[in-house]
Amino acid sequence: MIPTVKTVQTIARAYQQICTGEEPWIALGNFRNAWYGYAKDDRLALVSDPITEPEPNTIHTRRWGAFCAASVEFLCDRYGFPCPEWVYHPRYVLTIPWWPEYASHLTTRVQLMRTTPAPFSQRHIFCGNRLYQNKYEMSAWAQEARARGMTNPGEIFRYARQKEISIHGG
Amino acid sequence: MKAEDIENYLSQLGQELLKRGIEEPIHLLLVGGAYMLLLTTTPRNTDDIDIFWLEEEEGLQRALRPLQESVIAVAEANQIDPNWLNYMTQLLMYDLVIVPEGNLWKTFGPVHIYAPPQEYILALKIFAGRDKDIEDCKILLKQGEISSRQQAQLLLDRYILPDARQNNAETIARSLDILYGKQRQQPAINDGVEP
Repeated sequence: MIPTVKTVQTIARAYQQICTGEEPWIALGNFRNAWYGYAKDDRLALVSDPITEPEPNTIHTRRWGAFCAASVEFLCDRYGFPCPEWVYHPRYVLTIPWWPEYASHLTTRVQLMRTTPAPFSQRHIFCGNRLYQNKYEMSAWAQEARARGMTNPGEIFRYARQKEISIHGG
Repeated sequence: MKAEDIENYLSQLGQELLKRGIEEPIHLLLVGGAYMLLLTTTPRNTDDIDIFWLEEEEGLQRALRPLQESVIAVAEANQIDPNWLNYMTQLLMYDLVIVPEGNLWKTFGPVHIYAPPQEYILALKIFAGRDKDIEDCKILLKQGEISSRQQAQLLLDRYILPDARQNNAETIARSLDILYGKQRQQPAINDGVEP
């Protein structure tokens, strides 16, 4: 049975969970499962409601708010959906940039700056370009490769990887 | 971009900000190639104007959107890169370096441009360590008073935060080796090896 929008993991729901203490990658991972998997036919409904920031709005909740806005812009752009207006609000641009903890070396940061998709980097989040790659698509592209007559596993992987690069840029 | 272009674009930026109702000063610190061009006697062009924000977070939040819009308006009017005013260096280094206040250099409407000491630019460029940074270091060294590796190390100690110096030690050592020659290994004391 396809779940209703009330029960699926919208971005607003994911953000609310993050604000109430959920591990961000779990909340966003569940959103990603909805986007790529069980609710992919209703993607607009997953992102149309704006996120609601808590009071007080801490560094943690500001960062993840910006991250959610960037994710919505990124996914809508990649998959050809109109992007909801709320993501463009300037409060979702971080005044203090956000680097991964491992990025203490300048050359690592330069590399991340080069590879991070614009919806994230314009909000000063430098996370690289591999966050929204997903197993659902890799599996579908592998099937597509087989349907085109490819049988060599290496060739199938290269086909799927090429599709991945064309959509996600890395 | 030549020196006169830079002042022209900054002047237009000030006007665009005024059009958007921004009258409170926006304080920016000039770094990078534009600093070299305008504040040292370096015969070179630059692709963009590198700046650091000197605003507190609240002021920055207020100014960011109108500033970004104004930068784009100037870019469109002059057919130049929309990143002509570039704060990427600050995004890269904000938690790695000290940002000095600098001295007020010029104002363009609400845009107040500050200049750091030349030795600060030298420290940043040693820290960044790309080939073009090293070339700029050579120019700065000719014009300044930092003549030894030890003096350069003191500058780095002053402006680059300790963790950043440690995490980027290889890059810094490479820069210093190029500028001052390889550092000689200090002989270990009483290492048991006969001379």
